[in-house]
Amino acid sequence: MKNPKIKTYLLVGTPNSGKTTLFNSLTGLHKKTGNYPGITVGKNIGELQVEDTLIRLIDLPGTYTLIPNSDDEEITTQTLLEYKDKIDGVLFVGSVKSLPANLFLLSQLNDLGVPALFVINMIDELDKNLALDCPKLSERIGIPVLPISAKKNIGLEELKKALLLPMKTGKKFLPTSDENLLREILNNKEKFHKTLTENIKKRHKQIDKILEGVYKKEAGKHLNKIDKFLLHNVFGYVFFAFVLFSIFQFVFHFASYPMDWIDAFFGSINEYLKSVLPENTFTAFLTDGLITGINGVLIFVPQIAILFFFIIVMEESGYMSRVIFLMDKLMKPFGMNGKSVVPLLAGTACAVPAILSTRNIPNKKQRLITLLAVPFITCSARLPVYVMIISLVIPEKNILGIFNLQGLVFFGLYLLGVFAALVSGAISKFLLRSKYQNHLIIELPEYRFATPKHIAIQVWDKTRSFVVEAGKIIVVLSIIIWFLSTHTPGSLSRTSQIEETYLGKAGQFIEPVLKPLGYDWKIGIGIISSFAAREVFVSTLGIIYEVKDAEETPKALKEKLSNAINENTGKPLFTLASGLSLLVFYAFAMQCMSTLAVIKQETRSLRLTLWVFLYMTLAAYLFAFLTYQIFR
Amino acid sequence: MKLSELPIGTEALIIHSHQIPLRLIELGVLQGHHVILLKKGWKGDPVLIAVNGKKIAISKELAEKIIVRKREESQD
Repeated sequence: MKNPKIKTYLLVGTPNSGKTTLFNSLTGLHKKTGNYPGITVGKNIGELQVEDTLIRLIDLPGTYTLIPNSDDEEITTQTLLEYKDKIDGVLFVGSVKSLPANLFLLSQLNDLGVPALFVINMIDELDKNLALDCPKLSERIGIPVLPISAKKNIGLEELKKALLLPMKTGKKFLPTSDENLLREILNNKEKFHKTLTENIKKRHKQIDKILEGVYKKEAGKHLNKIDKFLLHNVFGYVFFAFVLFSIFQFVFHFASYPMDWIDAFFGSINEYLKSVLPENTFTAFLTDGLITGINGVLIFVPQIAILFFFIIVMEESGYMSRVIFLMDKLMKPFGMNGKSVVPLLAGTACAVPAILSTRNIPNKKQRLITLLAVPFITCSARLPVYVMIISLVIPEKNILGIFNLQGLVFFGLYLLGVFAALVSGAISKFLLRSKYQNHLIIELPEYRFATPKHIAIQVWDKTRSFVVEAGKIIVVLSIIIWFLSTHTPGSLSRTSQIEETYLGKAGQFIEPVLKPLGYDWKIGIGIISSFAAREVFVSTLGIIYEVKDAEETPKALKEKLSNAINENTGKPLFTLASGLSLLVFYAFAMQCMSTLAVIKQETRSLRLTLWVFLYMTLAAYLFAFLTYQIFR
Repeated sequence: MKLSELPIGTEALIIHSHQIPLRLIELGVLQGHHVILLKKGWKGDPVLIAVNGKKIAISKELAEKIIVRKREESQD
């Protein structure tokens, strides 16, 4: 990596120091997510050109310390240890508001012998209660200190120039600490508890000495007005409920338009291709397999992007940590803590990014409990299924004059998802008894405004990673399901007789199991095929009932389905009982290959992943059975 | 007294803090540092404190393990 015209720096800093804002304003969109050998998690790499040198910045997750507490923090420590001799130095980002915490991390960095440049962000916020003497600080820690403001664009040009110069190694804080200790700690933190405690105390003593006469910050004895309201034991909750309500309104209201456009776009591409290409297996593969699969992924992008927009705004503004404060007590009985709220909220869009966001829960047990609860939350892939079945079996009428009955059932299914997630948490808590205690430790940063550009970049990053992570699985499975639904065993030619195909045979095979739930083999096909992704259920029924384009002509599908006859009973297939049973089935069942793949990736346990699939499917079967028997 | 028993809006000196997670010590919850109790949640849980220049929310159980002395008392 050492090349005179290329310099590589790791970007390290404490959370809430504006590190990512700085990264984005230095590199803009010129970045890629890279994987380093031995580290499975992708990191952001950005590049910028300064004079004749290409500067490469590797953004590491924010952390308070190199002694890691969560998987996210471990990345920073591991990358530092692995690459410290191969890089040109560390660009260390702190903020004037939290200098003691910045210095704590910097002291560990100095002791590793990594050359660094200390950039102090938010310098525009110095006032009579906040003072800092940069030259003196620089002298005491032994490396250059550069005051900047990433938001107000102060000092960025000086920073770029400074990146061209070789970095210096700072003064050692503890003569004894060495990197071997850190390596061993990564394996067993408990063993070194006493040594570590002593080390931490010594560091703090030195930091207090360094900051004497250099840094002044007056801490207020009372909360500011905003926090008095937002953290209020009553109004705080009312406000959060209002925020949640608004988010869902936005997601549903605004996502439906782009979703229709995407659908129409791919629909017309397919139509066009079918009209110009010869009618053969390849054309069918391209249109009904590949393009339909890509459509199945992109259709969720609007909802996911909008929801991520709100989550990122909440996180960036500092409001999310207030939510964590409020929700902590409520989540405790269910084995989770306040931090579980973020993944559960993200789960309303898609379980895949939601499960990835459990990485910042430090306690392994709580992280696992949260991870297992997330798939029960009503995700956007369940919505097309719910919409179709509700429109079939629930009459369109008002209750008590104001409540729309279909809307109520819909809302009820959301509540069922939340309820199931919490019960799952309580059960996991009981099963996973461990010595770890359920503690919350979280910083409440000061409120701040994130720039639209910064938010846009993050929404783009998260959405793109959804498309990549979940996308590849959904597309591959769509192709497999296309094959299974168009080919018949023992022959390579396609058939339009669905009952002759692999899927049709499979549907007939599992029919006896599904009979007690009120389904026939056609619904069985839908259930099997929707294992790729739940929404496939709707289009599969469309194929079975020979509706040309199920999603574009919902009326035609609805008409055919409401006239459909259950071949076992001779009665209508979709009755109140079988419809509700199917809704309950989809609320509980693990009908999502991408979620299973990401659970496997995050837990590194095949057994656990299979167990999740098994118990969710069993729960779905049991509750669907009960529902059918009650309403029959 | 325990940190969890401190009245809201009072500053205190940390006397000792045994058997608390390393993370809290790293954040500056240690003997000799000042702490201000800013807010208590529902039924006193969690507790919001200001320490080492940061506002940190911690579980009540942790706040109970941190022994503090009010600043006024520490002056005599």
